[in-house]
Amino acid sequence: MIMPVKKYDIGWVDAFQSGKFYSLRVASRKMVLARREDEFFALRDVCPHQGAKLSSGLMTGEVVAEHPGQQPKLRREGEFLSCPWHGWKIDLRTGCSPLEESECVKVRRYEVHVEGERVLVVLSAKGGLRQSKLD
Amino acid sequence: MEAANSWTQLEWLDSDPRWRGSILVHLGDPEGSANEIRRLAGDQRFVQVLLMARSSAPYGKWQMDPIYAAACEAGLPIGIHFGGGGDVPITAVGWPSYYIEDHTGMTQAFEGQVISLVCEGVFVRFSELRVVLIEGGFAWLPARMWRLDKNYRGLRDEVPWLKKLPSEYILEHFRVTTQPMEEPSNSQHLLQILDMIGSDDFLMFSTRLPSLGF
Repeated sequence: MIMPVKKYDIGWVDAFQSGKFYSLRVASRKMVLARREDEFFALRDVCPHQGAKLSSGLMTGEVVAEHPGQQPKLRREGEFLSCPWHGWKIDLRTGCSPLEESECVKVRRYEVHVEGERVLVVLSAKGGLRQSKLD
Repeated sequence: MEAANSWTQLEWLDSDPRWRGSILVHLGDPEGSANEIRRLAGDQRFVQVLLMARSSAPYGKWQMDPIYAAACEAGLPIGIHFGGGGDVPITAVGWPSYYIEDHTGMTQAFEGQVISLVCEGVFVRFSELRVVLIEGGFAWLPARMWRLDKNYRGLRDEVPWLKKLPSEYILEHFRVTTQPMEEPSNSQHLLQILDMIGSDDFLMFSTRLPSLGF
């Protein structure tokens, strides 16, 4: 079944800087919007751990080192959000924490489109990311 | 250490085939300790490499790696036993006055060693290493696992070599002995602790005989 969707225009592309989070309210839903170069991500602005505002968090990546003493590297920089309260990391692409496979710690994602110079968030009739046919 | 271990062989292990021994090592000489472990690896009456719970530095430090490498080569676990000391106070808040404080507070040392061994990546470098916590009890363990896992979620960038939850490393690489164990007035609480640990084969039976200690 294809859920009906609605697109919400949230602003000019240039209004959003790369590497920053923006707290938005779209159709009464609290969202955090992130821009990474030409990509946009939108997630529910609530940490699944204890409800912190993710939009106050830090944009980061994955720290990688194979053993103590090795110079760590930052991979996938700008693709993670670190929660401001307890440092939980959320993958902006999936809404998941790298540590938790359970659905109960997944952050709801919203589809974001760029049409022309405008940024649009797509919501299904029930909200959230669902299989949808776009206009 | 060579003299002490050779004495163990001559005086104890040779006197009765039922005896089993621990290889003593010198923390100030990790390479020498590794050579000693290798020297005795062929004598199967030695069943572990012995460390003491208290030390001058946590056992996860990389300087200990030669000992762990040699233990893994020999197929021997590391036994961390109640006791020991170094040039640091024996509690996390300084020197206590009475033995009851010393004895009760020994769990701080066991906790510190477990946390260090996990967080400093010892089990990443030595995936076959086994560690037995001897005479440290185990009722403290579930809370330590919860706290370590919770902190790992927020602080994992500090220890990126860990690829799974710290509690998973603990359950995979550690075992604890049963004597002495904590004795709650409600014995059901002890069973609940075992449930919280979450493993059916985490305990190793021990008696501490002939010691009459509690």
